[in-house]
Amino acid sequence: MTSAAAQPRIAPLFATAVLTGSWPGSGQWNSVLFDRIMEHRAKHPGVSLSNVHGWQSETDMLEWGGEAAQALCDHVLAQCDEYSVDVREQDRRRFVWLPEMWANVNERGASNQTHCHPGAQWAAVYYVVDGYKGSDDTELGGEISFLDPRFPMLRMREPDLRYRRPDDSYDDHEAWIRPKTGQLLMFPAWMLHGVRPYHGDGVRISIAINISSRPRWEE
Amino acid sequence: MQVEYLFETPLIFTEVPNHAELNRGLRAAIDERRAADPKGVAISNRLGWHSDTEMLEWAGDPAHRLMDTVIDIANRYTQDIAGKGRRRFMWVPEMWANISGKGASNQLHSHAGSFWSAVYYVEDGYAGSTDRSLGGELEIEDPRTPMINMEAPDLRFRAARDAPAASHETLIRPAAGRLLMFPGWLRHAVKPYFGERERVSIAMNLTAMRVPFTVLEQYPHLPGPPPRD
Repeated sequence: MTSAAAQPRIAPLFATAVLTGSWPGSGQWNSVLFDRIMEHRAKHPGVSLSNVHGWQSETDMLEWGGEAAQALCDHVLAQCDEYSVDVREQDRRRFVWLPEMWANVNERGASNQTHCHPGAQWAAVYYVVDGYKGSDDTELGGEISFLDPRFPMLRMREPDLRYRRPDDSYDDHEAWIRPKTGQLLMFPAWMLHGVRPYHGDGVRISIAINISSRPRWEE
Repeated sequence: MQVEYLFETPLIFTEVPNHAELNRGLRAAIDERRAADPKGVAISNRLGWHSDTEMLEWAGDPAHRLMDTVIDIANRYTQDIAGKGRRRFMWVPEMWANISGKGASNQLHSHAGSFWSAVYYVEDGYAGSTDRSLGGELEIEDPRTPMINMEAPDLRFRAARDAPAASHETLIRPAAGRLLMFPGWLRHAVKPYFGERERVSIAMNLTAMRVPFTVLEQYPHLPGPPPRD
């Protein structure tokens, strides 16, 4: 090998960040959220958007979700502050966050088509209950799936030829995350994502939040 | 929270060993070619001289040595995920030279059809100066531009309070002997260069060509990504 002495290095550029964590309020609020969402579902037909089969509320959950929904929202907005920066001015707050929240109830066979949240800055999803009842059987499906924003461009010439990383893993244009009760995920609102068909027996409840930014003078 | 990074675009960089001697050979071949073909071609280059893309035909051994290095690196960082242990692709290499005088630049462009693109610096032109006003950086554009900045252009992702804001471009200051490789679709440009000395760089493309199994088994020396199970 001509380049035997040269060990190449890699700069991984322009990656898309997904924030994963757990909501510290989950122990206190999950059963309250569960009851409130099921109660609301019983009285409201919901909407049909990206959801296939599952029930999805209107985006007005901050009006009916009570103290628990507000506590979750406050935590998410604190994360938005933590992981966003105004590159022009740091000494003065020029933006406010506008959150919008809704609930999803998925039973066996439900899924969400690939979609994104145009007009928002951050998208968040919180799992009140994953529905897996402690099983780690991946046949139960229900993973959230993210689509590479460079797709299909990077596969147009030779779909089977991939970038092989220094750790010998290779580039894939989808990334799946299996939800966990109490887990919070946040990602850029423009990133296309979907939910793979869920085959568990338990009810899966998640809460989605879109966070838009607005100049502060609109406050 | 934990920050998970998805869908990164690789920029591979390395210093070519013994590049002083390699660069003398490359420079001589390039100067001779420019004397024979002073007009060159006009593509993304503004003001600078851009050779034809047949440099592997006219630059001899130094050009072949450089391409061997590029192919070795491409083979390390490429995987055919469906070859089932057999080679299916060969690289079709292409090479050209650029000479940039004061004021020269390259417009934003990509190398459509190519799997890997590479640039190698024979002479950075800075004459040892670290003065950034000399310009001439390679600029790489975020493939998600401008989508990521549409909602609020000034609001950017940061991985932590004290981490820098995410940027939609990366600037790389050339250095003689440095080799850079990146996907052919990735858009890049060269900022105007203001050094007094001529900047000499070499650009390369590797196009992947699907070839029948039997051809690559019959001719194992043909370059291409190795088999993986």
